[in-house]
Amino acid sequence: MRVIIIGAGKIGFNIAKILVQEKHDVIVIEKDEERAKILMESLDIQVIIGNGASSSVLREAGINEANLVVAVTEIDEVNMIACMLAKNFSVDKTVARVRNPEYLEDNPEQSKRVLPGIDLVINPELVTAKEIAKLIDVPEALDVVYYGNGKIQLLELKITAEAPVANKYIKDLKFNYPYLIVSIFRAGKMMIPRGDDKLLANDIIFILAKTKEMIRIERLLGTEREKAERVMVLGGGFTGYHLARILEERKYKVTIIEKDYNRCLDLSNKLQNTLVIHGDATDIDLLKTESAEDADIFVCLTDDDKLNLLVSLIVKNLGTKRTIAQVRRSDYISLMQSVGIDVGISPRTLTANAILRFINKGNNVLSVTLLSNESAEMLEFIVQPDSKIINSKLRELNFPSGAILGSIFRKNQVIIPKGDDVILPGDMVTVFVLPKNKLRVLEYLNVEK
Amino acid sequence: MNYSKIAAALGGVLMAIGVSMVLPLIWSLYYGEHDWTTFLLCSVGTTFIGAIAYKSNNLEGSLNNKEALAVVSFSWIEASVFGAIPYLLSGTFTSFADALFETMSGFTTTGASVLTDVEVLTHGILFWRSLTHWLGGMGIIVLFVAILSTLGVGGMQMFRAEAPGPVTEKLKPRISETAKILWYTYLALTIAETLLLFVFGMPLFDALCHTFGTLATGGFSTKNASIGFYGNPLIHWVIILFTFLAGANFALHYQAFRGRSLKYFWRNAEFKLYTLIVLFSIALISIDLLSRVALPFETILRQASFQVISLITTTGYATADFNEWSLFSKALLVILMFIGGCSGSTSGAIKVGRILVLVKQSILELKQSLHPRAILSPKIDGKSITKEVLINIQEFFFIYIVIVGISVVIMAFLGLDLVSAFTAVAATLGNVGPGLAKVGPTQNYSFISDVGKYYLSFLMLLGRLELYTVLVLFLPSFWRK
Repeated sequence: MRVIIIGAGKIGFNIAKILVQEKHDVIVIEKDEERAKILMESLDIQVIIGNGASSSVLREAGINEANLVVAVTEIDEVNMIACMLAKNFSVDKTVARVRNPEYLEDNPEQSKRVLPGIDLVINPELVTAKEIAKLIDVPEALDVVYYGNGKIQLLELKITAEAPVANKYIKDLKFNYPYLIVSIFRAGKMMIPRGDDKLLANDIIFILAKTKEMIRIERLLGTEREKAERVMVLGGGFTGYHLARILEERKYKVTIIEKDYNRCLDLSNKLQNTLVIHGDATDIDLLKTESAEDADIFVCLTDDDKLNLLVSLIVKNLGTKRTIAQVRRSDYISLMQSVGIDVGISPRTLTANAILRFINKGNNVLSVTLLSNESAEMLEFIVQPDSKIINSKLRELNFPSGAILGSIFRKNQVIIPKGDDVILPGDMVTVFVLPKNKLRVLEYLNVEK
Repeated sequence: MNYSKIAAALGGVLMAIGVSMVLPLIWSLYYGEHDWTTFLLCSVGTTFIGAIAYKSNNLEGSLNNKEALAVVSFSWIEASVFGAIPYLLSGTFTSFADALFETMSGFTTTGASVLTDVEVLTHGILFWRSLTHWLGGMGIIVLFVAILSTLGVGGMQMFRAEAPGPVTEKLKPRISETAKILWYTYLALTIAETLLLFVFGMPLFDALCHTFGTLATGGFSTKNASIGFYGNPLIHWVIILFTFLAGANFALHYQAFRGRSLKYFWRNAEFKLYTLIVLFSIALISIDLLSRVALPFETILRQASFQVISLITTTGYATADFNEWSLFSKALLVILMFIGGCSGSTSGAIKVGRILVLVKQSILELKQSLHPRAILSPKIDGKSITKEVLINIQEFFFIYIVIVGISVVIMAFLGLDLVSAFTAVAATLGNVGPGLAKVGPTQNYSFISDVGKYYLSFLMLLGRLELYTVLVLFLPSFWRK
């Protein structure tokens, strides 16, 4: 596939990197020479210096043979125009990053209609807000992903030292509900566990189960779910606004702290039930007056990673149960999570993920999810009649290492597979893959992308 | 200020009044009554004077804000003065104070009367009395704006100065089209109610007069016993329904009709509160009545509903002498007189929309003391209310209460007892009509001195034009060049 990426910022770079790994031809258009040079030196791609919204530059990049255009510059209008032009050159798929909510409709399908020529409109702030809202619904999880029309849930959980399952062999965990621990992340390494592996305190596990049974499984794992009610948000930018709007609809009590007075007025006019506070969140008195210690979840969304970290530590110290922080530099996430922030969220990674999910969504692949800062992937696809994996018991399959079958979704029923289960054509299955084995696994599964 | 433009506009309004006098003339001729000459004379005379004023002056170009306000206030005064002439010429009244009071009460849809016996009046006079309600209900200026599409921005200013409620919404890009739509909606409801009343056994003449009285939330009847005269409970229920509708925003009626859906009503916070207040009051008064009088449940429910809706919409029709009800029920009814119907309705008083904003703002003030650094903005239907509108509403409420206070003292000075004085002021300023005690539903305002009648007429005008439009004329700077 020939892909043109316009804008070589963090998101453009991430997408280019992953697409190159997947053996696609990537051409990047970037107007800044310095940035273009860095890109050329670090990735095996073609870089063109110029304006991506110009049709001559697009022609130079070979727009006529391109299958996909991803426009992710900092400027909304450039992205929109580039995609509209690309459609005129009959490019199959176009993706544009659009941040300003004024250009968007609430419903993505409608956005497609109001912005002709753009197949996927991606709004990083909205994506981030939705992701955080998901985490607030399941506050104990580090990550939540849904499969099979929402009936299957994948949680990323941290095993505490007091958990009843700590220091036990996985094969000894006898729960009454089907579940599967697809992976353990320990000491910076992702591994697919076997029955004779032990769960240790501070392990981060990825667990799959039926969505409606997950609460009970969590209780057995010692990560009890406590329903959050009060959410405090620091920073009333676009992300804070979207998050408050989503949480309001779900009946959470939301407080936003924002230091710009005019932005406060604007938020107060636009939001219905959110309490908007004008002030500086590093002011401990303000946090006390607004009883930050009673907040179930405190979300830091300023653009400043240091401030997010500092405020998270302050409120954690005051007694807030859980903190979620936006982290601009994704390499800091694991460090920040080790000093006190419960969950670090990188908007850029999320955006890149969302775009990749759209790109990969072809033929029979339903979704691709990058997990734990790209250290693993979850594939969801429909099994074809000519696949090697059908009609024999799972234990008899020669499943490649570095991958594990997670769940089967058949006729609206969820199956958490065991050795005796059989995959049939038409099943929707999820497979957990480590990145280095990905191509081999894809080949084995005969999944077309 | 361009006096020529004002005179032209006033002339235009006067012509409309003159032409409308043809309607009582027709009824007068139909019933073969002697006073048809009165209406012929008044109609021709009024139209002629209006035409001279209109033709000899020039209404070209737009009216500015000051001119628009002056036109609105003086239109109402001239309409009441000229509208009083038929009463004087036909001999219904001998004193000008009485005639002016009755006409002002008609145009402002108050429904307070100085007549002890209306059943002796001719059909022409009765029809004119009810017609003043109908014209004043949707508004003579709104009618004028609808007819004269060339007023432009000045039309918008005039429209805003007359239309009830804190915010005036445009249904169409052009103000003249908006005014037309409102009048058509009003006309459609008028036809519907007249037909229903006629079907349920009211003679056509009475049906028309009472429809005018209900939809304008006026209150003039053709019978001494008001609606109580008619025994058919269905007639009462029809009037209850239409009074309730007249107390709602006419823009909502239009939107619901155009969208063929009732959801427009339920989405409107003001309408919801209005409905809630009405239902709650009906429930309370029904319970109160049940414990005191031995009447069938339907009768009690009907009486409670009728009186509650009649008073909250500031109509003033009665099917029961609520002056005889318990203190509790009376107190509740008096509070309703202050609340009034919705913005954009034909009702008077403070309006539910303003109450809603005040309540929300009060709650926010309490919240503010808990969160000193919070930025709070009151919202209605998801839209926030601007600072200007908020201050305007708070001021309105303050001035309203101040005027009630001063006026009660004045009426007491003129010899009324406290309950009569207080309710007479509330009933005229709120365009309700009947009050309690000496001005109760079976009484009338004839015993009050001429000075008192002029003063109450002034209150009616103040209430109908929602204070500001009239009060601004008392600012010296208004008249300065």
